[in-house]
Amino acid sequence: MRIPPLLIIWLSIGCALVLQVMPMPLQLDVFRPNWLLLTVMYWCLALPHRFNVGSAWLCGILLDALWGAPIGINGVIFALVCSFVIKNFQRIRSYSIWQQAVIAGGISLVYQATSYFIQRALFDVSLIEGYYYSALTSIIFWPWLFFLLRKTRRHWQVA
Amino acid sequence: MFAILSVVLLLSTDKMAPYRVYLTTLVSPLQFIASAPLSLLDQSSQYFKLRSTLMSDNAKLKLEHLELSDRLLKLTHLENENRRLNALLGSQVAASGKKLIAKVQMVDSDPFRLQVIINKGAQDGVFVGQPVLDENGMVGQINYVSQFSSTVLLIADNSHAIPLRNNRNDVRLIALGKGDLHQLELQFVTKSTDVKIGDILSTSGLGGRFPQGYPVAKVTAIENRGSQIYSKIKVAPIAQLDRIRYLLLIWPVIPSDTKPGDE
Repeated sequence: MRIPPLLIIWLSIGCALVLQVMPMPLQLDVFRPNWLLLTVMYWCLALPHRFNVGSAWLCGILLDALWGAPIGINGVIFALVCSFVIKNFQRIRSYSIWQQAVIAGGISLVYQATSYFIQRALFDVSLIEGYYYSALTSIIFWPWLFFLLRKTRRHWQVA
Repeated sequence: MFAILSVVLLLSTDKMAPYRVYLTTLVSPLQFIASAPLSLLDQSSQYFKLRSTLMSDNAKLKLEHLELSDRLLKLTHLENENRRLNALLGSQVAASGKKLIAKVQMVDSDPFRLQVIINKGAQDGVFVGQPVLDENGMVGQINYVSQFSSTVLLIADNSHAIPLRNNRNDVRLIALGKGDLHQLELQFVTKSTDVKIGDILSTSGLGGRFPQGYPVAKVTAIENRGSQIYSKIKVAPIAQLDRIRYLLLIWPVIPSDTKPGDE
């Protein structure tokens, strides 16, 4: 049976969104990796012709709606991050998995910092303790997510 | 292009509010899926309770019920008396309105906002700005509504302020959220204002958003600096904002004008 590739992509995005809001113990909550960002990054790397800046922007908007954040904040950052990845996808693809992981961590860090500064500029928010830890866990989780999604992609022949 | 679109969206937040309902409704199934494992666990732990625990719970609740019904009897008497006195004074009378119990959905939200998601939405008549309580006191107000769920902005959020009145002497105050679940701050209180540690502050009803008379916070610390005009006052919310499970949504009643000669 052949499943349309876009369906697979958006199912994985849906799973990432669920993981992103899944309840976690308070102590572990700051260590939650940026699931959605990592998944979006993977699809940008793997299938830049199918998953473009617009899709990433849509993912950001969905996250905003899910989080109850002002609509557009994650949208703009996701679009920017995605455009960076798509511009450099051939270079990033050729790196080893751990180098990619470090890049993913760096992008997570940039994403979180930008999100903080935008919110800081627009509203009065304060930084919570351990806000940047999830960039670290994003590094650790990138290889697993990468292999999992690659296996999914090959199994369903998403191209 | 998408960046510009996002900026436009961000700046037009107020105008886009009606459309946001559809978007949040679209993603709300994800919230239900995300909270499903924990609520299942929760239900099964309810199901497998020991008989002795249930019996002691029951006994305790019966006692509590007795105590509360005694107070309720007095309350109805006082309410009647209050209504008569208000009528004599010719002031507005506020009756108690519709209430609804909502359950907090255990899902994560924006890391910069102190907010929780509840399982009641537009189909239950929930509206933006609606006051939300728990059994101890005021918790917050509705921030966003979708068809089946809505977001409650807690009083401790950075962007939240609530008008209060000191129960002891009716001094009006405003408590600002500081992004800390256990602490709010009173702003612009001159040193000469009569506020003491241990004072209970309730909603004043000014501003028209929160109904009058619900307890909100207790004064925990007062700091007076020599050179400053205002004292720094810290208050602790009475509702335990970090462990809310069930919330009470209340519908404000449009006060009916009662003239002295009406009754």
